[in-house]
Amino acid sequence: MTSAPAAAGYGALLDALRGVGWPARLAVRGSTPGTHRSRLVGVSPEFTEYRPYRQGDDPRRLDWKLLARTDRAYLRITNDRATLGTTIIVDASVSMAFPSDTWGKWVLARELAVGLAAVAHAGGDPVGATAVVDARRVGLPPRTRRGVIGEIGRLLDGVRPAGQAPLAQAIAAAYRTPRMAIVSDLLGDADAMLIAARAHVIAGGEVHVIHVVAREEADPPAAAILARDPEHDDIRRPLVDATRAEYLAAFSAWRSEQARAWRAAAANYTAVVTGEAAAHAVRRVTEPPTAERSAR
Amino acid sequence: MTLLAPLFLAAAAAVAAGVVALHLLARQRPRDAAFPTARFVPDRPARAPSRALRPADLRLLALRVLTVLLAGAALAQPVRTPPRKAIRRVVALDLSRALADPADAVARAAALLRDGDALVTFDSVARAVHGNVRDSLRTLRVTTAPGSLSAALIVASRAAAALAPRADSLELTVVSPLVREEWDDATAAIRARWRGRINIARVAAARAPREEPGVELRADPDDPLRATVALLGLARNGALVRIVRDSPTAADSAWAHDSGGALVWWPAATAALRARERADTVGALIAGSAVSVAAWVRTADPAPGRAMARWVDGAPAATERRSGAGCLRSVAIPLAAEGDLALREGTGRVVARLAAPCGVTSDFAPLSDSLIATLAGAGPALIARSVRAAPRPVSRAAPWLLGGVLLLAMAEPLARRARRDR
Repeated sequence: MTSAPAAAGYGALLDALRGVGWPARLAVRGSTPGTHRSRLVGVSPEFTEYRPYRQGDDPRRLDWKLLARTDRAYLRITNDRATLGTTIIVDASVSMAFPSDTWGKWVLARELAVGLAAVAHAGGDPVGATAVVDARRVGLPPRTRRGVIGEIGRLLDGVRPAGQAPLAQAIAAAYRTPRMAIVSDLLGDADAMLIAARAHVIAGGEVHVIHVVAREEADPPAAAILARDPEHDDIRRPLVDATRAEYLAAFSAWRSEQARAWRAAAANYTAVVTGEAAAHAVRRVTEPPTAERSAR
Repeated sequence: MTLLAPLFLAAAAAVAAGVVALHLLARQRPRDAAFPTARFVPDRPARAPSRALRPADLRLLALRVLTVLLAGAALAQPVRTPPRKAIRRVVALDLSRALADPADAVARAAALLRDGDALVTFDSVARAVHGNVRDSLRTLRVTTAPGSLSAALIVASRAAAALAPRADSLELTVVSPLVREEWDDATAAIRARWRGRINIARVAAARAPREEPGVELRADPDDPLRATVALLGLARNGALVRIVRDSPTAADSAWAHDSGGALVWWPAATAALRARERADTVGALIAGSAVSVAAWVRTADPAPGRAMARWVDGAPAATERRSGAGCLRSVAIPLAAEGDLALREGTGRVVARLAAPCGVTSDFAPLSDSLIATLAGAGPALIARSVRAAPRPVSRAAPWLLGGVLLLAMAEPLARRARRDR
């Protein structure tokens, strides 16, 4: 394996993402004031409408001034806004160090993680990151303080992809964080990840999956190679003219199946191929669902 | 640099081109490379072949092509072509017994020789001196053998043939006292085959030793051989031939070794010699041109050596071997005291043959002017093109090249294994 490419600064990326928001896909439970629509109503100073008092309503929410003026009992209705804690889980298995000369997948994964963290942090959300490398987890818990994006950048710059990365454990460990973004090539424990992510969604969380694919994987070079899986050394298969078409079909089918499975689990699945600008990919990930966009 | 068999190199180039083509067309194992999505490649044997558009293993290809080309070069036998000169010399230096002042002769030869010239030394045998002839001159020694101009001319012709590709003209110089014993019946004919002038560098001839015929006989007074020698008129004390009818002493051997005399051990009782398994009788005895027909009783064999006389059935009756400057003879011819065998003419001729001095008679008289003129000839030096081509030279580089081929051939399987393990 070649040495890690030098970590580029993230300044240009952060500039490109300035003003981008990452709204929650569902109303959040949090009570800390933030930018996301909260499930709680009535305690916010932000007035929305009046509603006639019904039996059982909390009398403390009555608009007493209106009652005194009109002798009618109305409740003051407000929509609350809350923060949404976000954890970026980054796959740092050895398969991410591909192509071996540029580490294109890992470089893109780093930029996506930093970009997503920056967008979330810009919305006032606490944000943290966890990199899983060689079955170990290194990371930062979600924080809102200034400088956390720089810390995440430095954390990821110091990671060298190696070994295997069981991301399911990292997903389960981040159950307290309502929103998680998984940046991975899904070539590890994809089934276990899916189960863990589904449990997180059922528990009210929000899962984004960013599937990183190298362009060389989607369209291998014409030269014949004996393809060796870096995570499973016993897998060595000839990728030649005779097997190329079958490979492309199998890989395409697998990607489609992954997209279907993750979306069926109510996760936001986004495939990103190396060569696409990270800022562009981040915008695609953070884009609200179509229905929500039209509602706005 | 010249190739003795250039076709081999051309053939090797063709084979090398074939090797390159095979590398281009070879169905080979693909290059091993990390590929995270390898699991989606169909699971087929890892050695599935693929056609290469360019040589996949340049190192192995280079090794193979180099091996083939090196083998071709070795079989083509490259030889270094020496620089060509207008004229080259062959110097025939006489080292025979006729030479009075060897140092002078060697100095004359050294003055004539230049780099790339050939030196031929001769007495009764001629030899071409190879390598650094100037160094060789310092180690030359005069022999006791007679000289032979015929032998010198033959070897000089061969040396000239070897020089011919490197010269336009060839010049032969004979450094010799040119005495009569060096000229034989074939010399003129052999000289005629050298179609050019021969330079003569005549040096002083030695004085011939005084050789008078005679035999010193040590035998009993009634020995029949005394009668034979007396009839031949050879009996003389102090002669160069000593016939001993009893046992020879150490003094006899030393005398023959040092003085150049011939010691003839002809025991009166042949029991002193190695007895034959079975005594028999043969009808004749032959020694050179002398024949003695009689009922010879054969009881013993002479000592090992060159046969001087033979029985009529071919078995040796008398032998000779060299001893220093002289020679030792062993005679197993029983000469009976009874009868007239010792007095017969044939017996006398055989005895005269066996009592001849060692070697041939020295004749150090100078060659006549006409013979010297015949030897020198006239006209220009020999034209190199007219000389029949010398035997094909041997390529010194070929064994080294073949050694290189062997090393490369041994390295090829290792390179192939390393490639397979990659």
